[in-house]
Amino acid sequence: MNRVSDEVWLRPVREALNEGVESLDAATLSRLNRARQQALAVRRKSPWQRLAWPLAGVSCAALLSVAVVPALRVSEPMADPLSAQTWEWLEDAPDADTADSIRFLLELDGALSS
Amino acid sequence: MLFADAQWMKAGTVGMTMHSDNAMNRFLASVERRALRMAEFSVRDRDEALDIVQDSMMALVQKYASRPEAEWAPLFFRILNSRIISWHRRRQSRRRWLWFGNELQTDADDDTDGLPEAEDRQTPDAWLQAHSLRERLEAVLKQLPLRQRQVFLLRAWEGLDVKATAQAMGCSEGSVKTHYFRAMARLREVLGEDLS
Repeated sequence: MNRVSDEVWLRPVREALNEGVESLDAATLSRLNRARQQALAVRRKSPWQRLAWPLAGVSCAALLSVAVVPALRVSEPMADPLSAQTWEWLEDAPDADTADSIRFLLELDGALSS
Repeated sequence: MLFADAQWMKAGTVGMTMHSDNAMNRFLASVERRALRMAEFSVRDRDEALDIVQDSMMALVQKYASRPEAEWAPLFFRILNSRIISWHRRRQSRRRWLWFGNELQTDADDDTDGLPEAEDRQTPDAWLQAHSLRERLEAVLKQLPLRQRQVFLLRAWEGLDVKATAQAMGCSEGSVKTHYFRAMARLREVLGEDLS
């Protein structure tokens, strides 16, 4: 059998494929048209319109953080003030070295007890 | 003066956008029907095919509208192909998840069904005579492996050259030639030499 060239053989194939395209029903063509218009509409939106939702999201997150984070912040424990008795000991100390020793022992005691 | 310049620039930008909108509209209108048929050959469902084409159009407009018009066709068909492949992957993973063991086995190679062999149980000659060229062609196209089918449609129907087809398929030019050769051989074998 003679083998026809690809180009000649493809001619009726293309016609058959085009026939399939031309036989698409009106509902399908309408949906295709709508899909195209929707795709093009995305492009027509201004950059501000496209950024509106992300910007709104960022603003909400910022507001939320301003409102909620301070409420969640745990107050740091205040350092224990020196008790009155400690002050008395420090005042009664005969010299600065003894006062330092007392202060050191108190700090050591505090560290061990915590 | 500055205001006038700004107005002029704005008008120019709007004009350019409208011009490229028109060009994009024309391009999409020229390929959408064939794209739908290509997707339909692959997913065998018109609604799914329409969704795939719409997704592809959206992606092209959003990401590549600013590219030169000559690049739109390979880019669009590349997006379309990747959407079709994703559709197949999603369907396979859904099936795996649902554990349809037997069906998975037969449908995993999605490209082997298509010819209506069980439909009529006729001899190949009788089947060929009973159906129009279009029906026969579509049946054989559905039977081809996905890549062969896409390469064949892009080259023979869409008219893309080897390079553009390779871009659209995301593969090498050699691979395009191989797929096209195999698709042509299979189509000629099943449909015969004389199509008149």
